[in-house]
Amino acid sequence: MPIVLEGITHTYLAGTPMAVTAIEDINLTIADGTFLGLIGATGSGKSTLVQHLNGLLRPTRGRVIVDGQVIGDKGTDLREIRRRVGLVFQYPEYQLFEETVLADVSYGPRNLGLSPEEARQRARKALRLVGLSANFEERSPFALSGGQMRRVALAGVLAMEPRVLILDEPAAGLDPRGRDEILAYVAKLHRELGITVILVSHNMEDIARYADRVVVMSRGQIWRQGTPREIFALGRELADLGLGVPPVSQLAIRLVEQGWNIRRDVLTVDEAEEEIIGQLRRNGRVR
Amino acid sequence: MFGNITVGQYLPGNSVIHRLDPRIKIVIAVLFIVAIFLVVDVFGYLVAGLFGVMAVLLSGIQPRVIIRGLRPVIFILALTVVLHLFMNQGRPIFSIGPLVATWEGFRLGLFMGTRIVFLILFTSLLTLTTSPVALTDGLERLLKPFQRIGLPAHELAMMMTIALRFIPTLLEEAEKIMKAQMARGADFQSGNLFARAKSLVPLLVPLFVSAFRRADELATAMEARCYRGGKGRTRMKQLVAAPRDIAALFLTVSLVGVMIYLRHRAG
Repeated sequence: MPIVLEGITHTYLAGTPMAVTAIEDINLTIADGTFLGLIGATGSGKSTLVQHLNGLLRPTRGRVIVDGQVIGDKGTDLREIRRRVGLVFQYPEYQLFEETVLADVSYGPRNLGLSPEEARQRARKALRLVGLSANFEERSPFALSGGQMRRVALAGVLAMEPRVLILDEPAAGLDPRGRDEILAYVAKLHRELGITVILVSHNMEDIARYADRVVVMSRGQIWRQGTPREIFALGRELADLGLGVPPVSQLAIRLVEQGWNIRRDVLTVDEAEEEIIGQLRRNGRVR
Repeated sequence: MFGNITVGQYLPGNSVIHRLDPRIKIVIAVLFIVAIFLVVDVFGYLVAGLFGVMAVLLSGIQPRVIIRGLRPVIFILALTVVLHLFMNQGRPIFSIGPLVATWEGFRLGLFMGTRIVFLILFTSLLTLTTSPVALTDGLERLLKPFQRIGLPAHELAMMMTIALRFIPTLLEEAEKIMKAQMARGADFQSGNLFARAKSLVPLLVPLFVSAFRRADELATAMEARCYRGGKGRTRMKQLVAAPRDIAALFLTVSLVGVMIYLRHRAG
């Protein structure tokens, strides 16, 4: 069942002189099995929005409906919602606290009331999903590399076996290899387990590569939504919001502006190559 | 969640009280406390109250905000009044078992309670009108004479500045970690005392780890900018006492004088 947001507004410190409305009248339906990319400039309300999806924040107005259950209603078990909708915060490695990796990852399952043995089973499974072998289980999470810590934290959420996985800038601060690794694991989860993924990111290339749907936020509202192709073909309009487009899309847009007869909505290097070579052939410059 | 903590809060402004030299302001606060302890009767409180009201009016801060500062001490206030009510000899009002409430106790309780209210309100006026940096700066200057007997004035002031600076940061961090653990099914609200204390471990461990990391980074950043303690350090803002500072100081000294006079008159 999908996640439905019905006209939600969230105001921080409501009723005080410091009140700030972070998101306003958001209507959004996230279908099962989607890989949703959520983009927007800093302060556009992305983080506030995603915290509503598992009930960490309650909307000031509007309703959040997860699997037909309204968050905040009597009889809606928040813990069950949080089990189904896993949220990985920015820099999640700062939440690690246990003595061993295995104990830390099994914290979530333990909170669900599973027996210690079951919790450990789940933790082991989650660690495999993010590519950490059995050697890591007894190590201290504080003695790992940044990329490894991040994957342990991701496993900590995966161990709850969520059906929806929200990641807030999962690759921030990682080197290119760490970045590719963590996103590749997320993409694999999406592909193989059919988990719905909501990826908040500033990296347009990542969004273009993995998302099948993109929501653009600006000043607390949804500015546009569509497929990555539709969104990134907007080019300049995105730039006006303080966002960019992937470099290849940018290249295609520039070439079109200079009179090239190629498609504007190019997303990958391969597509761009094909388009450009096609055009050069037509012009007789390349055989 | 932690947004309503007001202790030590600073409200920027440009009133006469805001512009007073922080050194003078600290001295005035200390003198005022001395004056409050000299009070023996209602008349003394009236004089002190007048002085306090004048200061609040001059500061341009809404009385509501200052009164809010009392909230954390309501329990201590109530306890003071109740203890005095029952712990004194005199004309009885009513009794609960062996405990007898007396009029004398009631009077003394109110008297002590008023003293606490005055202390809190005036010190919160100090912190409300003085930025933490100015406050520690003033404190450092005042403590400087004691450096000869080995008091590390600059270091103390620097520690205070840093501590004050990081309170909001750590609160924010705590909230973030709390949310992250709640997303993993943590429950900080229910269960008995033991269970609740135990549920704090996943919050406190990451919080301490990050506090140490921050401390380490801050130390490096300070060293990178050649910080090496207070020796030979000059200041960007030199504190200069203006006529209004002298006037405020004179007024406060007079207040203490009046209190001493009233005390003697009462015998």
